[in-house]
Amino acid sequence: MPDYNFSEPQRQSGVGLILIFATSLYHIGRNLWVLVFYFAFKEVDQRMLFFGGAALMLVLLLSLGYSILYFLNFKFHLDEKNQEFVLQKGVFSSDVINIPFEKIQQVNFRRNILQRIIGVYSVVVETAGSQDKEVEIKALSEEKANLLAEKLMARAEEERAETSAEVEEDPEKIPATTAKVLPQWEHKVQLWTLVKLGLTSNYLRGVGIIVAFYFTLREQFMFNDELAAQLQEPQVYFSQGKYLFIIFLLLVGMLLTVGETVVKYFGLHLQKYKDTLQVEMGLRNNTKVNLKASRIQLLQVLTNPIQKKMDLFQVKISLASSENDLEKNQVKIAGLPPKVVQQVKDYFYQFEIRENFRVKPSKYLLIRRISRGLIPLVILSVFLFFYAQLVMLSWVVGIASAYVVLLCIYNFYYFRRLQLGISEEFLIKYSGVWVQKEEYLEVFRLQAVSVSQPLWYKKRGLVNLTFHSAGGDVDFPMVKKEEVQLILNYLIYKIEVVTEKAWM
Amino acid sequence: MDPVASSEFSNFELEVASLPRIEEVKLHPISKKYLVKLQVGTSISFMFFAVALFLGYTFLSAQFHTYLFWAAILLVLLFGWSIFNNVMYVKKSGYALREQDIIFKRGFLFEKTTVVPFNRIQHVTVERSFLDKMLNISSLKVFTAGGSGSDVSVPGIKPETATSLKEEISGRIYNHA
Repeated sequence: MPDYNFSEPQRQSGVGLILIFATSLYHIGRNLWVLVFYFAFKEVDQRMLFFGGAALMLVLLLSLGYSILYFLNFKFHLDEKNQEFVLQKGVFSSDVINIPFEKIQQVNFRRNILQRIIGVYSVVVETAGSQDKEVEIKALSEEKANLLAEKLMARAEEERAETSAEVEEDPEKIPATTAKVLPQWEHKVQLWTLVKLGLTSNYLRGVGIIVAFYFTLREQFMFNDELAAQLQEPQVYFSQGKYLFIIFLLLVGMLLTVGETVVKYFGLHLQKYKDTLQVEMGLRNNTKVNLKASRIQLLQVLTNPIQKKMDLFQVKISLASSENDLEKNQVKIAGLPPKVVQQVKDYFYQFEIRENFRVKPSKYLLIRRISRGLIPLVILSVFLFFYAQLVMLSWVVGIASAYVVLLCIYNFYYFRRLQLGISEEFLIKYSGVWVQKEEYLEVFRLQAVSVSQPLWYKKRGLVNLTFHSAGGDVDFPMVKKEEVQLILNYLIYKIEVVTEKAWM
Repeated sequence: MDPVASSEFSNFELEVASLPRIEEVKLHPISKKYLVKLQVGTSISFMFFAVALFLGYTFLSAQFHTYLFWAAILLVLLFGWSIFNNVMYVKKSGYALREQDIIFKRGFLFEKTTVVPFNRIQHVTVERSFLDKMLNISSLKVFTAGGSGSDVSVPGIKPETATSLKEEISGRIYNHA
């Protein structure tokens, strides 16, 4: 194995040029496809064809030149003196991005189809800063990518260990040429599991994709009346056979959901090494993420009753992010059996989770949710009072009573499920009627605590709680103030006095 | 190392009962000058609506006048409520620094208290808008890693106080790091 010297500025792999060129062609194509359409539908004479061809050649040449320059100017290296990762790029302007080692949060790999064909990896360096959150080096050979990631993570760990007060032991220097280490445990999710997962997920997402696709298509084709008219036709179908259409839509939605799940989680492979959990997945965009226990801010375990029966659990892991869109910095792993979920938890948390007690919301929450659900009925009955002759009263009463029963059952389960478990090291929120969710938040990861109280809660002594963490907020509504006051004091005491661990 | 970790449940509760309490902390009120700022802001925004109503009254035909009349009444009511809300907001809001954290309470209709421990603060700034400068107040902003939800902005503090608070907090962040 060649030993790469990362302290010298270096370029990406040669084949990376193909990738850059293809990407720029793709962008050009995406912006100009309307033009192509225009030519396809219009008759063109020889002169136009000649000029069009010449223009196309020119564009191709220019973009090739641009790609070559981009490739040549794209250089990166590790600056050992200043303890930072340096990336230079730019064709017309020149950008230099410096990332101090201690700011590096994660180093991940990503591959799209083209990258897989030409056999290169994207190395994505994630930082804690607010701007330039991600830096991507798009084409490195597997060896080089692995080595670079290893070096960067090792440097980042060293830096952090130096800056944080408690230095437990010297971070072991990872030798430059590590032999292939075997994982402590691993788990692969089979294709069939993914299909099951897709079948038991929410189909509405799939239906949503169809609808969105239809509308974007219609918008794109609006300049062409004929095509637009053709696309209007689904409405005709709709009036002909409503039920058939809805069933058709649901079926397609189901297929799409299964397809999406399979594409997203294809080849999901968890590998636990000594100090990292490696997650690899994806068909179209293959990503490989290294999760370190010390970076995990918030952990969610989700399932629904059917999936629970089939041993399918989803784990969402939130990492620290300075941005407000916390969704983005989340790693989702689906289709895990409970045993693996437990293994994941055991790795992230050294402490066993032993709950001391649970906080339940006030019964006023149930009353409020049901009474709010009744508001539409009240409006409807006012409406009926004036237009009573328009509808069959028996129908209305039937539907309304069914609605009320469903409303009560749903909210009863919602209320019963909503609980906050408290242990000395953890906060655990249980919620959800169909999709059942457990959120785990370590007490020492808390950033701040908020208590809010609308004026009308005062009389009953109720408050809402919000626990802020760097991986997102956890809310808990309507609890008795006197009941939680002690807990809040305890939590704050824990953050301030007891915990000497670095939260990040 | 951890006094509570090994204890049992009953012990846990005892320990908790003797902890310092958030609810007993006396809060510093925020400056009355901040109320002036709020009222000026509210008045200006309502002025726009008033002008619109007046223009409507002069230029629209008489059949719209009854609607405009009701709109005006609604506007006056809303204005009165906003003024009252501002008064109560300033009256109810306050902040306090304890040895280990900063507490900020704000809001009238929706009261919210946030506690940010010093060892979780990323940085502190003091900001002054144009109106703040005229009124000689400033606001103290405390940023955490928990996103905008846990960031705290205490308005209506005297500039000198704000600066010394900032110094104080920065010092304590440093001690922790």
